[in-house]
Amino acid sequence: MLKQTLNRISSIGIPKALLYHRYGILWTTFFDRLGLDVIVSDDTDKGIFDEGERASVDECCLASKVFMGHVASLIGKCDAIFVPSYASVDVRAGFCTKYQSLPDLVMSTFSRDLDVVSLVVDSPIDGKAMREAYLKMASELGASSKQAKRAWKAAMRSQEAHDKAKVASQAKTFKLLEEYKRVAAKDASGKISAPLAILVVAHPYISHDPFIAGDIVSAIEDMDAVVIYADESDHAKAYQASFDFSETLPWIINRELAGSILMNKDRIDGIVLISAFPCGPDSMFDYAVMRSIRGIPILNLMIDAQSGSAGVQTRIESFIDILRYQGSGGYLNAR
Amino acid sequence: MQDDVNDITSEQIRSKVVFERSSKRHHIPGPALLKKFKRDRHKTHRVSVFRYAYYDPAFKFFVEQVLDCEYLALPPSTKRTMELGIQNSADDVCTPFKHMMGDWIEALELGADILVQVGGPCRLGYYGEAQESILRDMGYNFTMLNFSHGIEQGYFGWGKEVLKTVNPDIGIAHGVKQLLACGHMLTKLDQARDFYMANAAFEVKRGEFRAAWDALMDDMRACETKHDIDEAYSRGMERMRAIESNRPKDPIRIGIVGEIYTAIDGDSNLDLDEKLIDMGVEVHRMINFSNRYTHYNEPNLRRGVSDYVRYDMGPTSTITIAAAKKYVDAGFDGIIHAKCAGCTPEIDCIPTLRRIGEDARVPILYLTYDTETSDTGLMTRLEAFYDMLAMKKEKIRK
Amino acid sequence: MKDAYLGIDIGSISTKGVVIDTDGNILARSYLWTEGDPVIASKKVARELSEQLDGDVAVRGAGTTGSARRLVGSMLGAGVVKNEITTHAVGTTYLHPEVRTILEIGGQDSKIICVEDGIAIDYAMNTLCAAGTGSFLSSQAKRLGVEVEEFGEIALTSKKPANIAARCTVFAESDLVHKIQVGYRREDIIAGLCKAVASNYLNNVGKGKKVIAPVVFQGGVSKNVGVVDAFERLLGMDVLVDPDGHLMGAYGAALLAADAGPDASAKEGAFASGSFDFQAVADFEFNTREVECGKCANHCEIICVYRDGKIIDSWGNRCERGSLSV
Repeated sequence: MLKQTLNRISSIGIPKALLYHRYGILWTTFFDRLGLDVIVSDDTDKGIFDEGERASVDECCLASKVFMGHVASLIGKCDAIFVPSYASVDVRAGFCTKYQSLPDLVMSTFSRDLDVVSLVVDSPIDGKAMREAYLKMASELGASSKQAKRAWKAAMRSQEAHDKAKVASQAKTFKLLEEYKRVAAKDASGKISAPLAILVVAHPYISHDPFIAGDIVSAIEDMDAVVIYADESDHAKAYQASFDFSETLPWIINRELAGSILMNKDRIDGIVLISAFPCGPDSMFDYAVMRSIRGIPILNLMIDAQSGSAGVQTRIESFIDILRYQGSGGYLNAR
Repeated sequence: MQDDVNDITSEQIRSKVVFERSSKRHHIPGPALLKKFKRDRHKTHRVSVFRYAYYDPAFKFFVEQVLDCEYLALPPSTKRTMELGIQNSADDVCTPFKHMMGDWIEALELGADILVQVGGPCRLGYYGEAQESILRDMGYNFTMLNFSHGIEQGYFGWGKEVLKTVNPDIGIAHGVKQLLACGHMLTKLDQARDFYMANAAFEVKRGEFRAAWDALMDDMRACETKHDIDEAYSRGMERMRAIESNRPKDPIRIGIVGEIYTAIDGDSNLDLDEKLIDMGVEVHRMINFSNRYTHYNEPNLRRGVSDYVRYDMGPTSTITIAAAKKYVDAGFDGIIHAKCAGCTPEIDCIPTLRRIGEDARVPILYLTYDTETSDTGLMTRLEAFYDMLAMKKEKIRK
Repeated sequence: MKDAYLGIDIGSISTKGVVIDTDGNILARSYLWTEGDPVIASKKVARELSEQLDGDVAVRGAGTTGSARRLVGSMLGAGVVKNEITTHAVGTTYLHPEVRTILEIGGQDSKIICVEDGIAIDYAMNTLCAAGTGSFLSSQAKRLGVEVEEFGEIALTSKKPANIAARCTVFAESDLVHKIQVGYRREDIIAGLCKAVASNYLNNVGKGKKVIAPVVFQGGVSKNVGVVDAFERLLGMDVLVDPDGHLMGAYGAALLAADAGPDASAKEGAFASGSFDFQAVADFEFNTREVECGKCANHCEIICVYRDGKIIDSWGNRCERGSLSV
């Protein structure tokens, strides 16, 4: 059962999976300011994945299995494990139901007696509701209201600063690319060419987990292309833009990804759309992207277990080759 | 199976009966005349709803009595329905999407010009838009009444959506009244089905329950008012109650739990309930339309299973878990968990269901349906499950 | 004359048959490929069995199981037609009364049966795909240019089994091709496949089921020592493979037939004389025909079985309209 008390808990474990890749800074700062030792699980490796696969129902998605592996790796290393429930009360800014079920899924899988610290967030874009949920959890943990509010403020600020830095760095990359293109256009000899910009469109826990998508990202970079992460665009702006893509798409992360595609379509050379097998939201989102985004080449990759296992390299290489040949107007014109 | 091959003729006969009834009774006073006038204006619309278990009478009622349009009934699905659905859907989307795609294409081929998508939680909320866009790309011209639109404003938003896309002349008071009656019909259909599943296995003369059920469905399809619904229900229940039964003292009882479309819809679950009934099983199924929508009290349901779950885990998760707990507490012999392939929320119920099953020592059979699931494969699993429960029961009796 | 009973298990890949006496001793056994034709395969099995029996045996009843149980059941006039999960449980618990867990991997299906006090209390069968079953191993063997029968021995020579992603057939195949191309040793790939079959089984079919010793492993794949070895390593316990393990379905069907006792009601067919007439079965001509019922929009495919041109059984209809008089 869930026991939440600061008196008993001095350390808290956070699985480095799923929404950690979106809210990790917020979480670690928040618990740190509440005076807890924060233990983040290690990077995903084969051991963690295998443990997660053993613990999970076979039909679960890859990302869910990885998450369970991270939980397993934290058991015994901390006094309690933080597993939030992100529900989908907002029908235009929801999450996959996986996030809603996580605390109970973890307890039913490992032990109902496992010390799980949790909270329910109804909507990720309702700042007030989110704040209240975190403050409530802090008070259940025994923090004073003042301490909780201060922790929240600090946590929010660090996460926002982190997100802003990512947005700024993306803007800078685009600027550099433009510069490159200008120089290349002026070069009459044709020897200078601007690197290709590839937008990687994937849930953050896929694109930023080296175990899952590391091979894909490095395969793109090995081809001298620049990787731009769709999930590092400005979240609020991308969310707004996504309504031009779909009115009823229910999932906030997919919305932000769609928005980022629309916002950046004209300054990238290709899209690599990655999904982990079998992802519910992506089963519909990828299909919609492939059918409705026009004027830009898209490579859709479905990965199971490690990305390297499915011959990803060949697919990336041929995709980028094609982009290059297209850019130079034919096979024998390439540099 | 009700004989839908002759649907066009029976439809004409029925509307005649309906006319006589409403002139005899005076349930709808003044507006009745006005309503008739409106019907003339909107009868050019042919509205179709996807196939879903035994709910077509309620869909028909909704189209005719609430939307005031002509209802286009779909004939029973065939292999072609499924093939059309598979061809025109994403590979790994959940199976109900594919079933519905097949339904829509057949409805449009039959001349429907308005399709009604109910929307809902999880991926269902995006079904309508995705399906509409695929169908448009296929070259079909139609309107989709998609309740994923307007949902931000609740009933008010939905009302506006209906007036905007289908029929601007619906009287609000009349519409609301008939909408409530439609909800009432869903409840009555579910109640009748519950009785059917619990008793049909024990009829003395084979086929009596089926015939009574088919008659009840036909009766429901002819309803125009809440009063009609109550009468149809009473008639149907009376007939089913009168059927001679040889129920054994302690029959094998199985509870079906799972995902709201696949666990109920016979086309999707290959007539799971009928197959169990044929084996002589008393079947229960808490998950249905009215228990999930009309009478759903998630926090209350969850209170009963607080040993097993702390939070609401997903769209139908609490019903799935609460039903399983109820069945083991009531001494059921087994539980069957039915879901479509890739159903995330129901997959996530499995570890909890396992705990419930283990604690009570009640076996649970987990069934995942996709478009490839075969009748033979299902029968093998069901027969084995039945054998196992029967042998166990026999052993305990000794 | 000694009373005996016949059991036949007609699977998608292989057909198995046994004849047992009333004490459950196996008097004759047969195992051959179904090759897509259950009728011919079961006729062949019947012939092989009869060749092993001396004249003093009278087969009083028959049981069928496996995916073609219904067809062959009506062909042979079997009194017992049972699904393969039940027959495997019956056969195995008879031979191994102490067994707690039965692992079974066949041609296209795999299952786990949990046993307590001699009866099945829980079971599961593979859900979606055939990854990790016998047919999957056969096709991979073909790809590697190895006989599937040699798989196990080769696997045991590997010192470092390769990691193969075997959760899904499609992924497994592409991974396998990739591993061959980048130059993994053949025995390491084969050992990796065996390991993948075992771990895939435990992660899919065996998920959530407690594997308690004694464990019996059967089905065609149990003949593969590589997979047996992988199971023992993964489970950390001994895994028993019965030499007759592949026959357990047929054996269970025969036991159920024996339990039902002699069936003297047949007026025609194989049991017309009161005991099973092997010669008659060889001589009868059996045909099946698939008819699409046009009586409603369901278009049920009805299977009709004919013996010497006369219809003896039919099924597949979803309603009474499609039922044919036999």
